Amino acid sequence: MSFAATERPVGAGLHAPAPRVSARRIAVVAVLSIALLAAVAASLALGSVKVPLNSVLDSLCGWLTGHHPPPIDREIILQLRLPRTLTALVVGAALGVAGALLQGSLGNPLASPDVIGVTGGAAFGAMVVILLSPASVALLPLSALAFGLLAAALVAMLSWTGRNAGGVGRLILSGIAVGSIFTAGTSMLMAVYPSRAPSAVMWLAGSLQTEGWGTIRNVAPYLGGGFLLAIGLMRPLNRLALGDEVAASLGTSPRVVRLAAIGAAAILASGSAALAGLLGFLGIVVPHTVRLLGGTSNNTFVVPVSALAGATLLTIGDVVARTVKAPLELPVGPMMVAIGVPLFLWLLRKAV
Amino acid sequence: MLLPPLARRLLAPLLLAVALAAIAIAGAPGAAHAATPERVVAITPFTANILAQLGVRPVAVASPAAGEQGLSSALNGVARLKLSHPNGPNLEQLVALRPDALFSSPTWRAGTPRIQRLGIKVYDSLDPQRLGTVPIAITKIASIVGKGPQGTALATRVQAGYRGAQKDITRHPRVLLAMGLAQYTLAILRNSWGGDIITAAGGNLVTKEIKPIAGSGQDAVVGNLSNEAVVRMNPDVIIVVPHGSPSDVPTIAKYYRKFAPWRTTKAARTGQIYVPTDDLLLQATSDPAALIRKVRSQYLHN
Repeated sequence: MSFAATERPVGAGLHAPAPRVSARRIAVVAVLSIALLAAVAASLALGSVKVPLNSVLDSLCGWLTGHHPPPIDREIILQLRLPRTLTALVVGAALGVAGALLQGSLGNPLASPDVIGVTGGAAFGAMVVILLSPASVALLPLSALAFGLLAAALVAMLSWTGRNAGGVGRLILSGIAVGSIFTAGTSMLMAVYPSRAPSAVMWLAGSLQTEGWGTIRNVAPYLGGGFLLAIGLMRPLNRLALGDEVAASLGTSPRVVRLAAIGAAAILASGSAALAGLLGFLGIVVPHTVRLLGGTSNNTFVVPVSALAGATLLTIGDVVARTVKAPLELPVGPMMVAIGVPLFLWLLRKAV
Repeated sequence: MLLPPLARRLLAPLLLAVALAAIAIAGAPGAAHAATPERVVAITPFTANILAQLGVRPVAVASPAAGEQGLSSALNGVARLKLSHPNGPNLEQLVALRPDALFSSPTWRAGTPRIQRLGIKVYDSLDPQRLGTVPIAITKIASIVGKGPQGTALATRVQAGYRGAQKDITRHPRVLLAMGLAQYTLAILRNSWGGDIITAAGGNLVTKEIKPIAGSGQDAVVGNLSNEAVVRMNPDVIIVVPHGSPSDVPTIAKYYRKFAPWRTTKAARTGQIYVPTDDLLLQATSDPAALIRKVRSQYLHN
């Protein structure tokens, strides 16, 4: 199929001759890939504890080289840094893809996991455990995941039933309403249990401090499903960009594609919240940055490159958050905003 | 301006009468009342218990977050106030009690100006943030409530008690003291109440060299510690003070004893991860000697 008509209003001012755009996109992917590799290397090599580089390599490749690092170094690399780096990659990619799917399916540049109520739902799910039932702390990620999905399901139900079902405006308004209900619930819990509020603040600020492999193992199947769904949605979203009537004439059901995109975004955003708390910034800014950098809104470019960019940005943000005041850690959310927003604003000034 | 002769004659006696009235008012029971408050409210366990030990019965005390066991039995029957962040007591409930003075703490300092505007004297710096300031706080509280001599005696007794509790320490295990906040290791740093108690009990606080991110105040005594650092510090003992009711503690303790990032530490390997049912390591107690003895016998075994 042709992507000539897939340029979306978002970043629409970035038209350029096709061959040049193509080279530009290749350059964007190449630079982001190099940045990602550098970020992963930094994430494994740097931390609050200084581990010699040869110990890092031996921990990762000891089975190949036959060298065995000191047990503590090995524990730090394999049980703390490696799962954390993987979490950063997965969460960053998931939020980037979730934002791209929502902006692509709703045709709204402000669409993000917040808009479909997922963020509010996941936050409420986490607060239920942290504030109401601290004894169930082991269930924190699953509760965030479950309530994020519940919020998205409520939004879908409200917007896909009755008159004018499936309309974008109705969906966004339903999302805002459902999100408000869960946000109010979160505020109420924090007011009722003020002495437990510091725990809530830590979670809400976003952090990749995990319990190691266990949490990732629990959430990975959901995220895997979300990613697979996203891959399958890239081309249908391009057809949707031509307008609902054209998409329908091409054999694509706009309502089904939107519902599937929202479902995938909900799974990805809820899974991310389960692993790392609230990092909503990535979901809205990363896809825009990718469109601005690549000069296109083609979803076969925007969706995978948003994954690449989100993973890179979150990994860099996490390295900074855990090293700048080591051995103490800062929340990654504000750190990522400090790194990402200046870049985004610079691109925005150049492009618009 | 010239006054008529009659007015001039009356002016001197009038001024004298005003002066006498002012002196009389100043010496009246009401003035003494302002200097030595009779109706006091204490919203921290330390100030409430010290008042009780000085023989002053507050008109209300705060319900302790960690349960009633933190309050002296002499305070049974005293009205309980619920506190909420960040201001502390509900102002309407507080005003209804008609207190002259309120003993608060830096935790609730945000509410101090609003309470002061109601004409209530607020003392929010007398809840000790360090072990060494306990005797000073006791003498100041005693002086405010007009129990100076009793306060001096109590302060001397408390100080002698906690000094005595530090004798004959046999070993100095490396200790990590943290607040139990889900998967975050919010460690208590040096210059804190909990840090002082651990040190007084013979513990070697593993976070003592860490510089806090916040420059001063209560936020300067805690920090979100990297679990990599915990593995490298390898504490002998980990004490986690959780949020939650005492009934939740067994489940919370199970969580931290199996907490994967700490699994290689000596504390985890030797089963020395402890979760207290109270928050005495987070805020001042009127009997630090008992707390030090408890830490030594139950957690540090020294």
